[in-house]
Amino acid sequence: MFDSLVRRNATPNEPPANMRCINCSHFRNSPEYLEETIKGLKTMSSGHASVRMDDGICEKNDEYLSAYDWCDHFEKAKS
Amino acid sequence: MSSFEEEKSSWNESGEGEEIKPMGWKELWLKEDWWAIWLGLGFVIVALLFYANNSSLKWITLVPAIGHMGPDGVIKAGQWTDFSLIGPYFGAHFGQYIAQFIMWLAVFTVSIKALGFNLREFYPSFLFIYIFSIIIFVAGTNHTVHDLNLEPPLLALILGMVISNIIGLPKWMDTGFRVEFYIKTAIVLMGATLPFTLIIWAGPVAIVQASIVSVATWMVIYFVAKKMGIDRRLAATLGAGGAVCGVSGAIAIAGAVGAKKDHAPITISLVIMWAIVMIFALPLVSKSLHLPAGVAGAWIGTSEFADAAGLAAAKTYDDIASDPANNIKATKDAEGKTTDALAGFTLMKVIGRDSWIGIWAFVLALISTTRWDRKTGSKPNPAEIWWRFPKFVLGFLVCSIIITSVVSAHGGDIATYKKEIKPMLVAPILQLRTWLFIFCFFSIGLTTRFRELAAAGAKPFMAFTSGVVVNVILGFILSTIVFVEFWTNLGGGPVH
Repeated sequence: MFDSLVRRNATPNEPPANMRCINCSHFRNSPEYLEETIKGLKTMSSGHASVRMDDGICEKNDEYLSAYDWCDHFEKAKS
Repeated sequence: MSSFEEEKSSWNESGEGEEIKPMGWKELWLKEDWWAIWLGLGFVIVALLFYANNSSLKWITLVPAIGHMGPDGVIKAGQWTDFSLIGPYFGAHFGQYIAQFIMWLAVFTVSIKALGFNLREFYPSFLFIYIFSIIIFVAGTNHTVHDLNLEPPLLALILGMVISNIIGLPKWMDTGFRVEFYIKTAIVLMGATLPFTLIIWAGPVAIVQASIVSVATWMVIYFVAKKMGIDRRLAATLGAGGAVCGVSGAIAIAGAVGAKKDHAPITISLVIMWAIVMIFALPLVSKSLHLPAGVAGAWIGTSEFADAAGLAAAKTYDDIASDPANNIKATKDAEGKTTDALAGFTLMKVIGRDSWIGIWAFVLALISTTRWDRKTGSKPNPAEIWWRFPKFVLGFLVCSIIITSVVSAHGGDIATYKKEIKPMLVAPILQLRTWLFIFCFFSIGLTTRFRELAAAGAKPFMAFTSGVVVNVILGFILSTIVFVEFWTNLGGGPVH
């Protein structure tokens, strides 16, 4: 369902669904990693909260962003 | 053609590839919000089953209540002065507290394990929380401590901060200090103590007031930050932290706009700092102004930054208002206790602000990808409004509907509610909520490590603080002038 939603909303320049941050080796979004990295997160929120959805950190671009974002430095994560 | 472009074109041509594996509906057992619902609803259903069988959960949900001698010579629970009462009290109730601790362990084991935490770390950490919670309850109801305005929520926060910042604890103990999990479960249980009719009646006013303050605060923070030359992504994240939902708002919007990695930590530091200031300031200023409890709750709901911090402030004010010596207008029960501030806060913050986080994130994601020349952002998906929605709000509403239905089934009779339903069904749920509050407030203190927080810098501090000023003043005006009659009479509004 998510795959089809992403395809439907993608603009012509955006890569296909399987080449988004969520599948990239530079992207980390485990709740434990985020709570350890983002200081203060677990004081008044949580890495396990619904508001976070699947957001995470891109270690290549040094950004905190949506799992469905993308960039030219995509490298497929090893399964 | 770059390797990325080659790969991209091959995927486009084949139309195949690995599927994205988002969490999706797995969040039903992987997100804290849903576990707050399962636990909260579970407690309410069990309480209901006991009640339906002419029994009650109250034996196991008790809260420490050391007595004091009343003018009639009878020992009453409340502001005690005689230390010799402590031993006999716990001697008489020792079995109940052991049973209660086992109950908490059993209830949390399933959820903590499902969320991926280490139970071997959680159990000793939670034992620490539980023992100190008992100490906090006992100390917080001491007459002298009460006179110092150190109600149990404030005492929990201060004690936690002293322990974490001066004494220090091993990092693994953080496993038990789950602030958001405890407070979300408590909010779900709070639904059982608020009539659904009240939520319907007060909800629109809360939404209007909260929206006015949220939009105004966000715009002040954003445009002041932009004027100072701050990156617009940080400006938007600061705005969300100050206007919408504190730390949760900050991480939701940071992800939505593709912020730099340090934008969320900077915002979080400012939110935590101001939230802790407001925990103390708002109740004390409200007390000095003799604000009715419902009015103070609404003000706290608009001007506090996080649910946990706001509930600490609101609970503190209810404790203050429950003391007749403070001469504060509030709707009180037979024991002289009020929950007007908690009700006002919950309506304002949970219904008026938290529920809208998904919309804020969607709108800002849309703006960032269409107007900010963001090269890597994907066009936002409207489904995000649901996926980012703080699901524990649903549990809050469902619990309210359940208990309201029970009361309606008894004909909505106030006398039956006061004589049977409240003491046998609602009171034990209130007690569980009170325990979760103290677990949460103590955990806030234990996880607030000032040395670890990111340095915010002068410009973000000034931008955020400009929003705090607007937020506090506008929230005060709306609560104490524009909607004052409404919030003053909150406790007398539609009841079960």
